[in-house]
Amino acid sequence: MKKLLTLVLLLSLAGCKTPVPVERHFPEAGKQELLEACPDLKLVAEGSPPLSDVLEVVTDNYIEYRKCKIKVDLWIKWYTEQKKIFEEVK
Amino acid sequence: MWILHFLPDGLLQFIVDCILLVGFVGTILSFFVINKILRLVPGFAKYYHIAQVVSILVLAIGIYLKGGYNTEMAWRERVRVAEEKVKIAEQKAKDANAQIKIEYVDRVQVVKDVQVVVKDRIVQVKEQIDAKCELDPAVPKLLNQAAAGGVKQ
Repeated sequence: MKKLLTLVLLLSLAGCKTPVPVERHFPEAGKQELLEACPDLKLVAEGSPPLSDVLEVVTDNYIEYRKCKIKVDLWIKWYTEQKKIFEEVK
Repeated sequence: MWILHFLPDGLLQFIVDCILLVGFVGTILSFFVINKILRLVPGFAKYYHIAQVVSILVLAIGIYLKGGYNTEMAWRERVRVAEEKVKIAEQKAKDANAQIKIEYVDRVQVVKDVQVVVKDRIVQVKEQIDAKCELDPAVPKLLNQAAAGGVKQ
């Protein structure tokens, strides 16, 4: 009888086990444009194009690099900040 | 213990406490009081085991429910705190995103402004530049090779 009592009381402790989920949403990207991939660099026309054309293409490529750099910089910033915010919740 | 969500907290606690109390009192009585009385009455002596088993079961159920109830309440409190933290964190994340949006627009605008200025300048000095220099066909090829990198053309 005492064994039965011990067994039943031990089994009753299983009532203390309860799973409780807390829902978290993955943060959105800072801006939709950040999700667009950087385009390929423009190419210069083959042959002997005027130098001004070459200069224009090179300028466009520099500009494209600058835009892409902004995206990468902001992704780094986004990640750093979101990670910090995420880790605050424990 | 998900089923506990359907009952009001006060009612749940009352039910659990009642079961626990009945089980506890029943166990004490069946083991230490009724037990001795029933033994003295021929014909009822064999029934005291049944009373003991039933009272132990009720006590066990009471302990189980009490544990479940307390755990449930503790989890509800933790969930409430966690949900508040998550809510604050999500707001912070939104604010950070809004800041990134502003920064993106501002910085891209600066780059676009520079682009316009430089392109205007190229147009202005176009004839001057082209008059002084004739490119070798190797120049575009090399530039394109560098620009394409590993990308196949």
